[in-house]
Amino acid sequence: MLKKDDFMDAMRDLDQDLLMDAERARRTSGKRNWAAGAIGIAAAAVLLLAGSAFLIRQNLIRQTPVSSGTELSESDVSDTSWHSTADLQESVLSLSETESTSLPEETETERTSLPEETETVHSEKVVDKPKPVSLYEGSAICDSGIVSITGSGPEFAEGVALKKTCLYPGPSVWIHETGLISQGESVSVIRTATVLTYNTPEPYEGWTTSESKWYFVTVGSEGAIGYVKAEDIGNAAECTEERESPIETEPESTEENQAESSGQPADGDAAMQETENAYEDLSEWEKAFAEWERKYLFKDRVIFDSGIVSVIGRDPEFTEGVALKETYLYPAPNELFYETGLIYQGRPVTVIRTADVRTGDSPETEEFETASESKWYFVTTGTQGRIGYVKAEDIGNAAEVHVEMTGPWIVKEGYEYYETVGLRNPRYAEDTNVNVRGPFWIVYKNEETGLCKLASRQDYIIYLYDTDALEPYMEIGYPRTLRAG
Amino acid sequence: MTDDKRILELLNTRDEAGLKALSDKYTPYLMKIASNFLSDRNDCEECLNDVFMRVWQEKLSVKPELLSVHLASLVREICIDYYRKNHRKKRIASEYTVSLSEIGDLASDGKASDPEESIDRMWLSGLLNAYFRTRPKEVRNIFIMRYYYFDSVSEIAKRTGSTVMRINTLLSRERKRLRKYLEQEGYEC
Repeated sequence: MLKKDDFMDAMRDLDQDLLMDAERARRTSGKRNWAAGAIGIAAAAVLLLAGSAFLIRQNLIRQTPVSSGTELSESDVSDTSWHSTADLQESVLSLSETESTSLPEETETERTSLPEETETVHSEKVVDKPKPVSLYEGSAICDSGIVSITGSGPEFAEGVALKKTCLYPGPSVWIHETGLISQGESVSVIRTATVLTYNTPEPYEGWTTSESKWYFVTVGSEGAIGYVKAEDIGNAAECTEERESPIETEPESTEENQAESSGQPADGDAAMQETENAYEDLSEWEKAFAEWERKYLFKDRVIFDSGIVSVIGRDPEFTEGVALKETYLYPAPNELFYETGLIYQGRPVTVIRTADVRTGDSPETEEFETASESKWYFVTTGTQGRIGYVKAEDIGNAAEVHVEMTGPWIVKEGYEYYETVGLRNPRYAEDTNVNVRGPFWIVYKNEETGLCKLASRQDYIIYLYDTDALEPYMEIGYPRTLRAG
Repeated sequence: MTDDKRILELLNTRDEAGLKALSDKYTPYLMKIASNFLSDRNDCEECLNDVFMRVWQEKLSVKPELLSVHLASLVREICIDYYRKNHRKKRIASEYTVSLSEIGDLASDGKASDPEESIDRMWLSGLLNAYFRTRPKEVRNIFIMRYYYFDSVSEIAKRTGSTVMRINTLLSRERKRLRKYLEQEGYEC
């Protein structure tokens, strides 16, 4: 019986001329893409190479008798000039050799004939070229409302909505909710986090206002997906802004958007006004948050354009759905763009970009835009038509940790569940003047190091903090109602 | 950027500048390949370290024009070993994982055969080489991109100016064709 490992090992021994052929094809036709990928990886490799070189150096010193030559100097190992786009492109050019990849007749036939094996093709719904789509941006969304869906390209009649709510003051508190949307129907929101706003019977002083943005990811009649515009959400007389792709990125929330938030319920007006006074310059506020987010939420996370999805759900079983990718470009803290994709269990995410993206992985990158980091939101449709968030592990090349909102928490190796606590105003982002509040936290403690990991339900991001720094804030001001897992 | 001939000269004279030049030039390239196997950046880094260490410890006797292929082969071998060693401890989501799943219609699950059976693997390699030489160049290259370099289907589609659906179809047919060929040669698939 032929085994997979044997097959892969046998592939290793392919003749070099065959490999060289394939290598040329990879580089020639994919010169631009290879460069793009390489430059994208360079973002991850910036720190890596310094580390690699250091490790190699250490290993050389430790393991290998150096017969001649000179030890790598500090300046050598810290030299990152090779990361420049020009160098990478030069590298590609120097490695490449033009060769045509004309289609043999046989494959032409294969392309046009109807494949009998299409049941194995999981990505047939994916549209390779994005159709013109629109991105809705607005604010002051209530929990439910009427959706008016308009879209270009395929007719969008229904889809999935992702609602991102920001509570403030307390900029780190983001709430994510999902809902099914249908033309002319109200949005049925499935809450995935505990929400404390003025709308709730148990308001917490200081948490008086919230603002939300909706992202709509729909599946059109042709199987294409994209953003749609939504008007008149809930009670809000929304002044929506539809943007045709490509999108010029701007700060998510601006003063103008704030002013347009006229649909807040009356009992929230005073609080809203108060908060507006406190945060007159919201763009600065947004910048501060973006910087905080970049620094703390995206730390050590580098996402690439595609990856393998492990979809895990509980009831019902989530096996496929829609992905929304939010990418943050930096330096340029407010540069955000969004991409959508269909996801299947164990299959790569094929991303449909909805914006003109200028990142470090594009050949046309501007010098200052050298890196991007992304967060993925997965909204899936279960077998019973229900939707919810799912956990995504190891997207692309990133060892990423997401926490499923309704499922077990992911605990990084070396940590064990320690305690669920309520934290009162932990201030751990001192340099950004941001007070980060979270009502419920799950704490994982590493017994060896004494370090604790904090998992926030709202952001489902895991933080790492020193126990000592944590203790002053461990006043229990909230009921311990949430359980881990 | 140092050319490959110069890099090989430096390495073969045990000059560490050669190692640095090699690292400078090929780290992005090798990282790309490693990332097709391993989803964790640190794992990729570890494998690349092993590649550079092995290059340093073993005298390279390849032609300059084949240096990139040789390095790709090295990183592939190291990454597969790493993958097999660690995959049972933690699930590794990567293109390699997907590829293993895809060849399910060609080969069965299971660990690699014992070393004593390496003759069989050599025989299998010979069959594969013979098979691919009969195949159209484009089909062969796409198969190798997928199951040697483990490039993603979408990447291959971009590189070949094709569509994801077509590449998936082509690969599916090619697996079936290869299976039929191997069965004719006496393999039980």
